[in-house]
Amino acid sequence: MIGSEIDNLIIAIAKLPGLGRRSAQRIALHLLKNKEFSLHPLVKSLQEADGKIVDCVDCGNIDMTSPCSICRDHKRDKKSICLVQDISDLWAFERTGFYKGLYHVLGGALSAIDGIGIDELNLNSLINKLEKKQIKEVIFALGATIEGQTTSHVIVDKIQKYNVEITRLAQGVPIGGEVHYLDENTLNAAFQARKKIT
Amino acid sequence: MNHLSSIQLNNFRNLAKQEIELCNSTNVFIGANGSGKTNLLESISLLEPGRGFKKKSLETLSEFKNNNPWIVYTKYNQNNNVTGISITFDKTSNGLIKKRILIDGNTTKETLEKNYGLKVVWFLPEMERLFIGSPSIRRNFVDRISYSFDSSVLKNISLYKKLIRERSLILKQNNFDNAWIDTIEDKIANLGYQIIISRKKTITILNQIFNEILNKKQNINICKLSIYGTIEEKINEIIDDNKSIAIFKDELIKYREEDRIKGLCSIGPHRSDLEVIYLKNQVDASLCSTGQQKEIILSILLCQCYCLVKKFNISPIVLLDEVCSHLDDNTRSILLSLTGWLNIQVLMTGTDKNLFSFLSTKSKFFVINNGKVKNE
Repeated sequence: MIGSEIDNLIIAIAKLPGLGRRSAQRIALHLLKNKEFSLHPLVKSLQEADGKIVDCVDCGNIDMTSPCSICRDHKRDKKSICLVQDISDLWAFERTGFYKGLYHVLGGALSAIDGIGIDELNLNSLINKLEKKQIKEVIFALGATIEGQTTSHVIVDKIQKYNVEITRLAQGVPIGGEVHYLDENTLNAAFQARKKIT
Repeated sequence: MNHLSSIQLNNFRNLAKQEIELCNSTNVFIGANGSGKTNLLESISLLEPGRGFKKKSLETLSEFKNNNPWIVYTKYNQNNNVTGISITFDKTSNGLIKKRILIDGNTTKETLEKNYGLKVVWFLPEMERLFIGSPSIRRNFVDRISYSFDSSVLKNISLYKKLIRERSLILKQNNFDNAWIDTIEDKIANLGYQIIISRKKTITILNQIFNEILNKKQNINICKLSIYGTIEEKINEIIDDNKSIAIFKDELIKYREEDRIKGLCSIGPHRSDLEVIYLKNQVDASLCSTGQQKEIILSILLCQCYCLVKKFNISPIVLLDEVCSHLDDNTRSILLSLTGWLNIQVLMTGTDKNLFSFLSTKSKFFVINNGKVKNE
C-alpha cells in the first residue's frame, strides 16, 4: 500500500492540525466508502475555497474578497483595531458580535523556538493604517502566554509613537469559574485588576 | 495523619496484579535484586506531578511484552477520610502521552498536592552521587525541596528555561530586534529573581531546622547549606526587589555579545550551585566519605519532612530505596527520626531483613519475590 494513492491521501490528511495517522486512516476510508455524500462535496468545497478565498490585504483575515467584508463594512467603527493572533481568534470575537470595530490578524506570536520573528508577523499593514492617523485605539487581544505577552510588548514598543490609545484584554476569573480552582498567577492578575462595584 | 492505606497495581512493570495493605507507619519491602522493590516505590512516586522518580516515558511502565495499559490504584487516608486515587495514562489525539488521575472514579481538575495535601519525598541510591555529580543535579535537588514548600516553583523554572533558550536563539540572529530581546530579558530577570528568592527561602528554612531542632538530637550531625553563583553574589546585599531585578537585567545586557558567540546564557540561577558544609569536620560535603554524603542527604530530607509536618501541616509519604547500605549510628538515628519522631508513613526497601532490626515493632514487613508481594 506504501506509495499508493490511498497512502498519499492518508499522509495528506495526517498532516492536518490535530490529526494523527490513525484518524487520517479513518477519515480516508470514510471518504472513499461514501464518495457521493462525503468525498465529492468535499472536493468541490476545497476547489471553491482554493479558487475564491483570498487573504485580506488590510487586516490578514480570509474572505471571498480583498479587502474583506469586515474591512468594507461602513457600519463598523473604523477608529478602533482589535489585534488578534490568528483568524480563529477573530472568529471567536465575531461569534459574540459585541465588538463593532476593525481587526488586524498578526498570523502568529513571536517565538524564536518556533522560528517566528518580527518579519514573519503581519505588521506592515498595521503600521500603514496607524500612519494614516485615523485609528484612535488599538486593542491587544493576544493570548496570555509568554509568546503572546512578548509579542504585545514588542508591538507596543513599535506603535506607541503614533499617539493612539493602547489597551489590552483583562485577565482574571472566567465567568462560571470558581475562585479556588484558579492558579496563583491568574488569581494575582484578577486581584490587581479588581473593579469598584458601586 | 495522611497515609496510603492500600495500593493495587495492575500490569505495572513486573508487578502484574498486586494488592498491598500498608500500615500507617513504616513499611519495609525485602527482596532480591530485580524482584520489583523499586518498581513498587516508583508506582507511588507517580502520585507527584510528572513521570515518577525514574522519569521514564509513561507507556514503558507497562509489564514487559504486554501492551495493556498499567493502572495504579491507592486508597489515600486523610484524617480518616478515604479517597480512591487511580493513576494511568492516555494517548491524546495528537499522539501525546498524558498521565490521567481519577479521584473516586471521576476525572478531576483538582490537584493531589493542593486539594488533598499529598506529597511524596524520596531517596534513591543514585542520589548518593549528589555531591560528586554536576551542579544541575544539586540545583534540581534544591528545586524539588522548594517545590514541596511552594508549588509555583516548577512552573517558574520551566518558563525560565524556555526563555533562556529563546534568548539564545534571538541572539543568534544577525539583526535581532532590540525591543524583542529587551522583553525576553525583562521576563528572564523577573522569573530568575523569583527562583533565586525561592531557593534562598528553602535554604534558610533548612538551615534553621538544622540549627534549632536537629542539633538537639543525639547522633545527628548538622550541616550548613548555601547557594552560590555570580548573580547571587551581585544581589546578595540588596533588599529592594526591583533594584535586584534591574541589576540582573543589566548583567544580561552586559553579557549579550559574549553569549551570542558562546550560544549560551552566562548569568542566572541556572548557573548556581549548592554548597553544603558538614559542620562536624568543617569540610565541604563533596570531600566527605560516601557514607557521610548519604548521611548528609538523608538529614536534609529529614529537615524537609520536618518543615512539611510542622510548618505546612502536611504528612509526606517518604520512599527510601535501598537505604540501608553504609548504615551506621548516625544514619540509623536519621531513619529512626523519620519513622518514629515525625510520625509519617515511610516505605523502605532492602535486600536483607536483618538490616532493619533497629526499626520499631510497629513496622510492617513484606517479602517481594519475582513481582509477588507477600506479608512477612
